[in-house]
Amino acid sequence: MKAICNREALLSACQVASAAISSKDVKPILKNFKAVAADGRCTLMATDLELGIRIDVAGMVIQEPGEAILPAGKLISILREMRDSEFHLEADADASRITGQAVEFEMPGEDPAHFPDLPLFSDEKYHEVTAGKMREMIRRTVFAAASEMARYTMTGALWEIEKEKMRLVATDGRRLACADGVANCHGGHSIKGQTPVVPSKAMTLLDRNFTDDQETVRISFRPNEVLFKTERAVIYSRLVEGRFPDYKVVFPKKGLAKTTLPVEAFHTAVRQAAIMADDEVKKVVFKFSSKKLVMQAQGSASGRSKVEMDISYQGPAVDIAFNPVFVADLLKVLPDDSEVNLELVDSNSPALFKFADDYQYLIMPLT
Amino acid sequence: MQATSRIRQLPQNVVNQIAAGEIIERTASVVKELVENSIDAGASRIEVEIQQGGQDLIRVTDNGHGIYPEDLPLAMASHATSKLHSAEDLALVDTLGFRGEALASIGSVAKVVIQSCPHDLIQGGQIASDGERVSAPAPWNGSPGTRVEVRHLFFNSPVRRKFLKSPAADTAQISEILYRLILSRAHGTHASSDLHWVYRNNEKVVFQIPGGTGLVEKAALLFGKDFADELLPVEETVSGYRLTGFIGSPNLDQGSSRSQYFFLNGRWFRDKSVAHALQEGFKGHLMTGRFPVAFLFLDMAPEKVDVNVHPAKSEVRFREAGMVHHLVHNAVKKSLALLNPASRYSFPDKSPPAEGQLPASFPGPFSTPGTNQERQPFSLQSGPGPQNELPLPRLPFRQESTSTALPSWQSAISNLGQSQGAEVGSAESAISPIQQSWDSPLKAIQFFDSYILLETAEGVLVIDQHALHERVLYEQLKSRLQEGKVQKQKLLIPETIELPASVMSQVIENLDSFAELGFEIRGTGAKALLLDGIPAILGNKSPGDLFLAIVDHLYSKGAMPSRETLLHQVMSLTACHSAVRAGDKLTGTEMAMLAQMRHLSRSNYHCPHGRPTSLLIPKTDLERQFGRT
Repeated sequence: MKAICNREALLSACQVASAAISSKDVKPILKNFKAVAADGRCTLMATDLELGIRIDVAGMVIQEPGEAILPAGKLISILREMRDSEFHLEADADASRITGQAVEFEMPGEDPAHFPDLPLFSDEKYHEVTAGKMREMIRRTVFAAASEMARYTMTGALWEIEKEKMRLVATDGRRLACADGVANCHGGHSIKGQTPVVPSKAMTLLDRNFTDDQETVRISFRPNEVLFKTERAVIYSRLVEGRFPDYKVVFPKKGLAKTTLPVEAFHTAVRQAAIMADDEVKKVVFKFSSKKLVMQAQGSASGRSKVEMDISYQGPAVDIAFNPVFVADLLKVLPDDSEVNLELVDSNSPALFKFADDYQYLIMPLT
Repeated sequence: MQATSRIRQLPQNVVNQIAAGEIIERTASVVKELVENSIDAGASRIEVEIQQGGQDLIRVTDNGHGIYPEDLPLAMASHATSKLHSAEDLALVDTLGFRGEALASIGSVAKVVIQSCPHDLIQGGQIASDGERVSAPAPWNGSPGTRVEVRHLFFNSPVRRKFLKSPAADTAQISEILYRLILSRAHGTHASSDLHWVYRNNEKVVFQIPGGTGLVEKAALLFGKDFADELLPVEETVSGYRLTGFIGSPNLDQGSSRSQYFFLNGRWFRDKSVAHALQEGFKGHLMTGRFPVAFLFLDMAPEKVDVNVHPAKSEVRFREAGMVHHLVHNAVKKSLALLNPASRYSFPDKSPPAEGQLPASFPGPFSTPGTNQERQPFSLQSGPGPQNELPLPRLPFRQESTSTALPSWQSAISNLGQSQGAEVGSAESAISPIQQSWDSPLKAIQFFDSYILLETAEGVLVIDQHALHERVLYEQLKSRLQEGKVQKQKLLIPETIELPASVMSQVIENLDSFAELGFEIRGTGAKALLLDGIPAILGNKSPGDLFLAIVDHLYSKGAMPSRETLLHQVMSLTACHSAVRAGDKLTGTEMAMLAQMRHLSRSNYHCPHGRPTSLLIPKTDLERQFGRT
């Protein structure tokens, strides 16, 4: 293939796609991008076999169609260091050459046929949602997913899709996030009988390649995999195998005490109180009583902190201890100028945060 | 008043109850006695069935030679046995049971039914005991063999009943007893090694082990395939003593001696001296506080050992204890020597260690700074004792360094080698790069991305960067966490931990103590636990490893670890993860910082896992070696 490339556009595509580059050395070809130039467009592909992406590169002038394998790490380094805003790319199975005004790079090539094939989004049955809503739902849940392999079945979010409704749930066993949204169903797409869990990595990648909140995302679940189509990319991911825990049973039946907290002030207060908590066991005691919330932390060597906040509170007084990180994780994804509702039962039961009518977050206390 | 103080002969059932106290402690003891009887009866198929941990029912069915109906009443009488005829035979016991107490003892504390039919009779007989009286024998039509059913153990001694553990704990102990019995029959020399085993608990088959499988296959069925893959054969014969079996490779090391099984003439036994010999044999292959896995079978003439020391026959007395120790020690060492060469060189006896992995008490030429006032000379003709069958140890400074980092050393080494003459071994020249390095402005240099060499007033200090950093982090953590109770993080979604059955009993007996350490256990199954809360300090780490570490502690120390020990376990995990690793390149500043932090852990020259953090090559020794004094 032969093309004139726009440095910035290519770099942006490379950076997004590099999330799918294999970190293992099992199959060396997976350390590369595959570039396909045809019909006046150029597509970049990357995959680690679990996760894959095809992304359109903007600003390319194709002079000669073709395919090539490009080393991901070196290519990104080159693009970062290049000063030319446009340059020539010439690549085939033997080598790829990048020629700028004063620089020239040549890298060994490989047979593009050896690169695993990535599916195209040709499904006629899918759900459609706006990028803004999708991004919001991902950001509201993905942080709560487990990161360690020991809790493998929780290393992603559960997707529940039903006609025009969509729900994402993620948990690491200690806290749980549940975000709702609306989606348009096309062609009768349904996940009946499936409880698909999408890996966190795939959701983060999806979030990163949105260019505009108004664009639409198409989602299609297949038996063991999911495909997303955005304006410029198709993302493929295998689903997490295994059974996601039955999350509905963990919600407390009814809260005995209720309060409404201003996000920004509450967030600040939590951060202040947490300063004195130990790094190993982060713990802040939240003392709720009518009209007042007192947050206290006591470190083993660092000292102690006490932060007070005026609140409106209905119900019996409750002293409950949380890992402040879990609280802050929630507040980070909420708009600063909004308010969040909190329902409590007692110091041993999960605390339920509710935001608007489409986001719930549960935290299990420390005892 | 007078009547009660007169001396009287005790009624027989009271005598039996007292005897039962010695042998029948728990349901597992009943299983053991019954299964041993079945083995002694030459059975080729044994089925064990229990309900509620054996407290409701224990049933052992075999296809052995059976009991003649007219002998049944005798089977229930004490000191009645078919296995021993006179006092002289006692010295030549080769059956598992012989005291003739078991059935009588069990019969006095439980409801027992024995049904048996010898192979040469058409109709067998049955007899029942209700704890006091033994019924008259009645005819029984069943297949050849014996069936013993024990129900409601200790129903007539409420005190002992109260001391029975929970059914789950008893189940776990019965599993462990069965492991021992199965393994005892698993190895070559015994005629009954092709026993077919079936074990049912609450009407579910727990395992079924076909006859004719070898020890490795049985170990794979009982402990998992990964376990069985790491077994090394052991074999040694010395004047009438024979040792066979398998040891686990050092990769399989455990936190306790729980996975060591010793068998004498086909019977499981415990013995400190054999355990010690095994541990000694592994010396240098394991870190301190770690234990090898072993299945060792000792065979010797019955007159060389007294097995009648303890009613449960789990302890023995050897006539020549020293011989046995020697046999085990040598056999283990020999087997380990066949491992790959790398591990053979790691810990040569009495010569300098390689890779900084030497055990804490290592008496080698490098002294551990601060702990050893009387330093041995830094001599490279290795110390006394058997040697030379192994190549000289590979010191951390040789070969790789000469071929990579500083080519100029190559010539330096060869020069030194020539000037020092023949007596100087390769190890001598190996340390010469230290001398070279003092020409450079850096007072600390890194080798193999793993070790730091440092000049100190006393001499050259070799630091294992990972071990030292771990120690430093550990000290820092410890001082921060000394006070306060263990915080528990409650879980929204309970976590499952899988544990071996033998471990489960220990856990169940200590639920309260686990709760104190931050584990909230909701429920237990045969092989798994459900946790509702975990110690908060674990963070994202899986609780399984910590749990096992605690159980190991419980097993080896007989008590729950203190809060401090628990912290130690978690912290050594935490510290280990955040410490710089061997293989991490360090910059000059990082090295200097690490070297400085060394003083923070001045009192401890071992990492939390017991490896040394640093070694000192005394300046005086260097001077002596170079003929400067």
